[in-house]
Amino acid sequence: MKKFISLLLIACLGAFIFISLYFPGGGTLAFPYYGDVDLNGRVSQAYIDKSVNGPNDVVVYGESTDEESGSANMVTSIVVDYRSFDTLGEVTVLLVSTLGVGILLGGKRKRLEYKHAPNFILKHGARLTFGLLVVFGVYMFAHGHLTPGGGFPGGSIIAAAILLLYLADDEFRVKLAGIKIAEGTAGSLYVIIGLAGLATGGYFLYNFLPNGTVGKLFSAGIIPIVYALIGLKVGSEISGAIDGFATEEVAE
Amino acid sequence: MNPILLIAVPLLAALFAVAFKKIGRVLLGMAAVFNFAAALMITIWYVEPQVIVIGGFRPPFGVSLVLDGYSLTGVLLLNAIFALIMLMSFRHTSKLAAVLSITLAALNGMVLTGDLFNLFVFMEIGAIAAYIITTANRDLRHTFNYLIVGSLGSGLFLFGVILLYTLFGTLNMGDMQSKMAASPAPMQQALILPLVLLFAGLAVETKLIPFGGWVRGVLKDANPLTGSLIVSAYAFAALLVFGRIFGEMFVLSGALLTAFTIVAAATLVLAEASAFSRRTLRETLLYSSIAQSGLVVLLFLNHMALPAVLVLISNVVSKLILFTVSGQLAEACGTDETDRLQGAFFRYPLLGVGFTIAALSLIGIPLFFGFSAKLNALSALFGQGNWILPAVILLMGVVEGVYYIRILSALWHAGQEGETSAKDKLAQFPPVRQAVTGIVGLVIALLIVSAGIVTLSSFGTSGANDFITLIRQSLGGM
Repeated sequence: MKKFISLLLIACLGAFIFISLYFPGGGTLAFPYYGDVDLNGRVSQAYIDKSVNGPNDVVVYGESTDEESGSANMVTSIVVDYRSFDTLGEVTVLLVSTLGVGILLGGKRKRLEYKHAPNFILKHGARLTFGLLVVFGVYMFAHGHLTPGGGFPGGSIIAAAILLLYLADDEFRVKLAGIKIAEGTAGSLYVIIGLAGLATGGYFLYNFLPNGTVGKLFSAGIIPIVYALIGLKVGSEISGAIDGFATEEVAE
Repeated sequence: MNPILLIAVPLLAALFAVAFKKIGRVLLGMAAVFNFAAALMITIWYVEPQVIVIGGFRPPFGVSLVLDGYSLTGVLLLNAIFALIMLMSFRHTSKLAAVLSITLAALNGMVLTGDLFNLFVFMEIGAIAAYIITTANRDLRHTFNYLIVGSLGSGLFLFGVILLYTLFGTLNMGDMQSKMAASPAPMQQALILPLVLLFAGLAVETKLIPFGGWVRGVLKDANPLTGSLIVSAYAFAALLVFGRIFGEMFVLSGALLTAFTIVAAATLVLAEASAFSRRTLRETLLYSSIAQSGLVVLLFLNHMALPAVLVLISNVVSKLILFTVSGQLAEACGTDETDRLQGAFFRYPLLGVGFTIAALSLIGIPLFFGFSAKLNALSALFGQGNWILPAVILLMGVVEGVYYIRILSALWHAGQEGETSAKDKLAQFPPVRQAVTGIVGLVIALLIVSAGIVTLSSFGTSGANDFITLIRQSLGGM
């Protein structure tokens, strides 16, 4: 009976959402079809033109210099510059979640035992792949202001490399104290960069470095630095959480 | 002083606490003291509403904070409440130092932000921190329940925000408000779905029935820290957010207003009835909190922002001391059943004074702040020509009066001679803890009485529409 009522409620909610999205206001479509949105009058157009703080000419890849926000990757300029404060928040979401994992799975722990001991080739093959994966992760966040990617995917790739070591080697463990120091330092530097912006430009998270030429590796001011910090932080944070899941409590 | 520091500094403290675990609690204490001092200075220097730009991008393009009388009230009291909770329950913070610093940042962010998506981010941080804080109760089933309900609520809220962005092309609250005013009629129809989603999302954190089903499990055995944080600091921030969205941004009318008002009124009635039927301190108090949430939501929905804020302040300030004392009594005696705590205050009058005045203020005894708050709410409702809601509120006030008096008379009752009562079990109650809680209780009691007299003296004559201005005008007029 309880299940039936739940199903009925969900069906009603579904119908309500469907009807509201497709027939609001007696047939006039308030929600536009995909691709039909008029970008003028929406904030996104100004992000694309890099014209938030004043009118701007055409942005040319590899030529325009000192453009607003300076990143060739539009998504990155929104995520780490125009709305960097939200990103600081998202970084905090991950931080507080892994703190929760740490509190619930804390105490003295040892590795989970495998039924079959991993063989020599698997262990050492994984170590070789580990290096390549870390380089790929670093590339991902170092290039985040130029190509798709950035600190979150870069950090996740690094954490995936650590996960590989955990899976391939039943004795491997990261040094948790080191992980915590890397995590805390990278995160604090993000906030400190924000405060430096407040001190130099008058705005928290102000991009106080020169923006350079759009499309060059050294461009976009603080964006690559922030992305590197996020990559480091996300990588160490998720590695710490992986350690929590790959270990079990030692009975005392 | 830039209000952004109220968010940045506790966040920095949390990050340092992650790196250097040993000094985590020192950092937490410093962050709490800094935030309280900073909020006080911001209040003293406050002249007029201002928008605080972040990153140097003008609104509505960048994320920005809004400091006006409303958010200033929130910031000042929130940081004061948080500092007092830390003062009284610091020994419970051992593992939680970093999480609590993040909580402080998130609650300030929720109150200050002027951007809908940014609001979602801070609510999310605050909610995850709350899940972790409630694990201190050791019954993880209730926390898990809270996590599921809370995540569902956040999801609905985010869906609503996405739809609003689709409609208006902006996330800045002020900008959205002006675009909404200029929009054609069909747009008003399209608003129904996103508003229902926002309401459902917020109803989880503001504990409206049936969305607040998680509360009982999480709070009935809560330690003083968890309990006072959830019913006081979190409730304050969540309801202020509700007021920002449904009291200021979207002014409701018609069927939607009626539907939401019914949910709020039902919450008030059902929760007061539940509170009346409970025999343990914390359960009574948690249902009383839910009921007061219903009342505050009711007032916000019916365009009475100032009365709503007054009732909210009266409730969270009183609940802070009520819940802390109840939690401490439960720790010392192993139970919080009212009957088995007979004479507790007889043994420790210092604990009793703050508790008693806070409870009397909630009942609405004249000269206490709770009386001013209720009077304001009732006269505002009468002013609208509304008779049904005031009748409900008055009736519920009587119910509330009965169960608070019942609690007080039990706790102050000396007990029969030869009977083993709570006062014997309380013998081990550490004197330092007792003194700290007692003194904080006295300070709160003093504030309740003085704010009650000050606001009552200027009742009806002050044209203020926020708490800070009201207090300033009342003080100036004396």
